Amino acid sequence: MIITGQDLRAVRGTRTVLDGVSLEARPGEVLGLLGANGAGKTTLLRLLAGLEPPAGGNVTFDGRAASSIGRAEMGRQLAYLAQGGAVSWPMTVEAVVALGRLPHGDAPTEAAAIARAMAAADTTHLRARPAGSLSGGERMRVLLARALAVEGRALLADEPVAALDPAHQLHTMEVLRAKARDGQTVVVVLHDLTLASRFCHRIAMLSAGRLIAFGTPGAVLTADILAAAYGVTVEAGTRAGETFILPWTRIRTPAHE
Amino acid sequence: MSRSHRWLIPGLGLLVAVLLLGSLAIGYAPLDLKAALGDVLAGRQSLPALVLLQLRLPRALLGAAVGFSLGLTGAAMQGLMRNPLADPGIVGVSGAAALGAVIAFYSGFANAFALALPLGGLTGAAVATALLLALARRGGGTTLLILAGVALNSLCGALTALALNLSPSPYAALEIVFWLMGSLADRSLDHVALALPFMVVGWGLVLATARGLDALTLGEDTAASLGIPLRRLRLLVIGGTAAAVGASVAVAGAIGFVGLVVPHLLRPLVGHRPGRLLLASGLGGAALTLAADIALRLLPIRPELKLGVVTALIGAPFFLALLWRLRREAE
Repeated sequence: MIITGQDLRAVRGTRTVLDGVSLEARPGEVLGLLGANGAGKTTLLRLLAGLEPPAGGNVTFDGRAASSIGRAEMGRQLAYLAQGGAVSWPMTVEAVVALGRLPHGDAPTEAAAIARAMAAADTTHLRARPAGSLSGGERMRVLLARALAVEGRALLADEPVAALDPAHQLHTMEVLRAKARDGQTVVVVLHDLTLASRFCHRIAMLSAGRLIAFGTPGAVLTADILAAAYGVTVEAGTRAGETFILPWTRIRTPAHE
Repeated sequence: MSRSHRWLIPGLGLLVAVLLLGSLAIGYAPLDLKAALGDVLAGRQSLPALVLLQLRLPRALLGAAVGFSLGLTGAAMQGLMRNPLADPGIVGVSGAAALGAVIAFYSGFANAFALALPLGGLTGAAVATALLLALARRGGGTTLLILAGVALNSLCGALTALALNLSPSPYAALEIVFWLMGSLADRSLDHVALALPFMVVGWGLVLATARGLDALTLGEDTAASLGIPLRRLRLLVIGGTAAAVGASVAVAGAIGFVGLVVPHLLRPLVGHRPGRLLLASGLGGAALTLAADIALRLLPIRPELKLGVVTALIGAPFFLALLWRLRREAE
């Protein structure tokens, strides 16, 4: 699914939180959304998921507006993994993951899809546990499995690695990468520069609601752009052809408008 | 689905059926249920037939319907709010229904004709519902609607207190207070005919939200991404709750604790799934209300205790014991 945002604007009360953002997420690619806290990453992701109509500009899915596709069809095509991820009731992990099949309502294939999603997110061993007994990282993986269970054509994830240990951070990024390889359109909000550099095909860098760079990791994750976006200097190197980037010193706190 | 889940609904249904029969069989005048039923079916206007049709049947039917309404809407409100402390009264409709009935009392309409009281209650509930739905239509979120409900409840409570305060005679005030405690005594089939249609519509609206409430477990954004129309979900739950609870309060007064306790009790038995809890909680509410109404008729206390008093007397300690147990399990 090609998700296109054109000249997007979003407001919260009287504050403009996103302005003039145009980008495209393509099938087979992982698009990383980066930027400082409050730069507008989550807002942009919600617009691209069709969860909120933009105050200006438009979002299309394969050239069609969300309204012409319909809620149920959107639910089948596009999975959204929210930030933080609360589970209000202590349902079992398996029941939580099964919610990903809700838009499909297809009982016969349901069990197989749920099992696939739980295996992919390394949560099969948790299947009978109540959601309330999970650690933060385990819960995030369960919610990733829930999103994978949709088996749609696009997967939009808001900070899916925030609470994870290093091994599971790598594992989750590998899962997202594999989904892209299967032809899905993957958009992910990240803070880790090295993960962004290694696993994203393209990166959109936001600063104070504006898109300040959009392109390959090599083109976007430069010292100048990172200094402008985060107010930090970085140390970078390569290992086996891949780049790692570490934030090193603070120049200033990130820009606010 | 585990074994206990599969048998829960039929089991609760059976329990409600048995308690319905029990409610028909137990009363102040001795009644041969079989003979009375025979008379009713044969169309004979015998005394047993009259007792069954005019006294026992309305009481039993209202007990089941009011209890079902409270249990069902309690589960739905808790699901919508994603909070186990929510109860059907939280939307403010029960306060408004009580106020409507109190106005019917106060104005003297209640003495003029028997159905003035429930009609007053329904009018109060309808006004409150219209207000809430208008707010929901304008895009108010769940928190805003609940706060509006709280405000509505306080306003109606204050106006009810004002009516008591200005009451012309202590006897009239006492009558209002007794009515507010909730009871199923001396209701007729007219009451059933008046309230049941609103309740059935309310049940239908609320039961249609099962999938939406399941999805809401993961938050509003995730539910929306699963194709759930959130505004419609709110309208259904709040509109349905208003119809069912408004009608309940209009005919039976305020019956507390059923809508809060029953969903808690049954939630573990449905795997904590808010959608599956709806029907179970409705049946559980019907069973608890019928049982409490049978219990107060069996107690040797006259005049009989008010149903709302008994449900709170059973419900509150039970609730505390439940919290005690949950606390221990959590440790």
